[in-house]
Amino acid sequence: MSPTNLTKKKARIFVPPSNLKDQLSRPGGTTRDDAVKAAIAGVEMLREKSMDAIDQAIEAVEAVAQEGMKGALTESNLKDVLRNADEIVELAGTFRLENLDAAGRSLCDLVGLLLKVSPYPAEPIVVHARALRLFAPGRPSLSAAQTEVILGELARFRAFFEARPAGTP
Amino acid sequence: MEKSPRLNFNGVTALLAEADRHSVSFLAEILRRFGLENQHCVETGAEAKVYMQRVAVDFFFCEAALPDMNGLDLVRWVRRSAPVPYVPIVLLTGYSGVDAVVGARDAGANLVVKKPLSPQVLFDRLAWMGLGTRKFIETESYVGPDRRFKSIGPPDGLGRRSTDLSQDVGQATEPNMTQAEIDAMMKPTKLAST
Repeated sequence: MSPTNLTKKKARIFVPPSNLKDQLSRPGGTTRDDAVKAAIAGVEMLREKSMDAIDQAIEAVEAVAQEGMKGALTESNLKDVLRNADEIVELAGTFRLENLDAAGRSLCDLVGLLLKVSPYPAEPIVVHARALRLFAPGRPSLSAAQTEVILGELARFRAFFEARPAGTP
Repeated sequence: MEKSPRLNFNGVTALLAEADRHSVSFLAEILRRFGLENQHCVETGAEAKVYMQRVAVDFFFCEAALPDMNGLDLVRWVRRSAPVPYVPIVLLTGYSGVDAVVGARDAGANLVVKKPLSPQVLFDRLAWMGLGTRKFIETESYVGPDRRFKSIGPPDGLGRRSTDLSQDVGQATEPNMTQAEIDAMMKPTKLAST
């Protein structure tokens, strides 16, 4: 059947009923600058709790990495790592912890690649876990050169698994 | 002269569908600081459906990857089956590749906001959705904000001239937009001062 034989339903275009504009435009309220300032202060109040959460998420990745070194990782292990890495990225991004954010993103990408190969190797997770710990809040800050080396190593792992055909052990 | 809009969120309601406890606490806190106190948080798509069947909310924030369902499917459900299908929907995503944004657009979300959330971005998006008067379009394959900015002629295809365009929505004749093009269409534009 050619597309011209298809009966096309007419599109209905309309302004949806809503009183949201009236609600938002009522007297009072807050300006953008004030609202943003208050929101930034509000998020900042969550910093301490968030730093603890980062620490716990890194610990969880380390635990899986350690477990993986004893035997083969499972898909469920990798999904746990992904969930924790995602949490690290979310928190590191919010509080502008750039290196931690980069290492967390690298781990997310890596797990995506590892899920295509079996058995799942633990070494790349171990190295990423170490990098996360080095970039964790409260740790001594690293020089730009050291940071570059670490992130470069993480990138090498990703490149290796990217180049590896799916399904090869 | 005040350039940015002054928004009164008092009494405005929002549903937050997000399973990640950190994401939801950041979002809830930002909205609270904007003055949007009436929030209800759910963790799953199923809970969001149940809530929306009972309560009409003014904004719906939906994570793209909920534990029990894809956020895009939930957006489609809202547009097709919810009692209030025209609610402004913000899809929250950690991954904002072109496919993800195109998927969100085609599902009928008003906007896609990348995580981690920025208060500036969020405020501007809320102002744009809340104060703007964007039309909706309902077709067999799409229900959601009308993203076209071109005049397509009189309604129902009843033009007086042979050159008038009909409103039939056929197959796409151009490739999907790039991320930059989507951002350009979705980003807030100058609002009329009230």
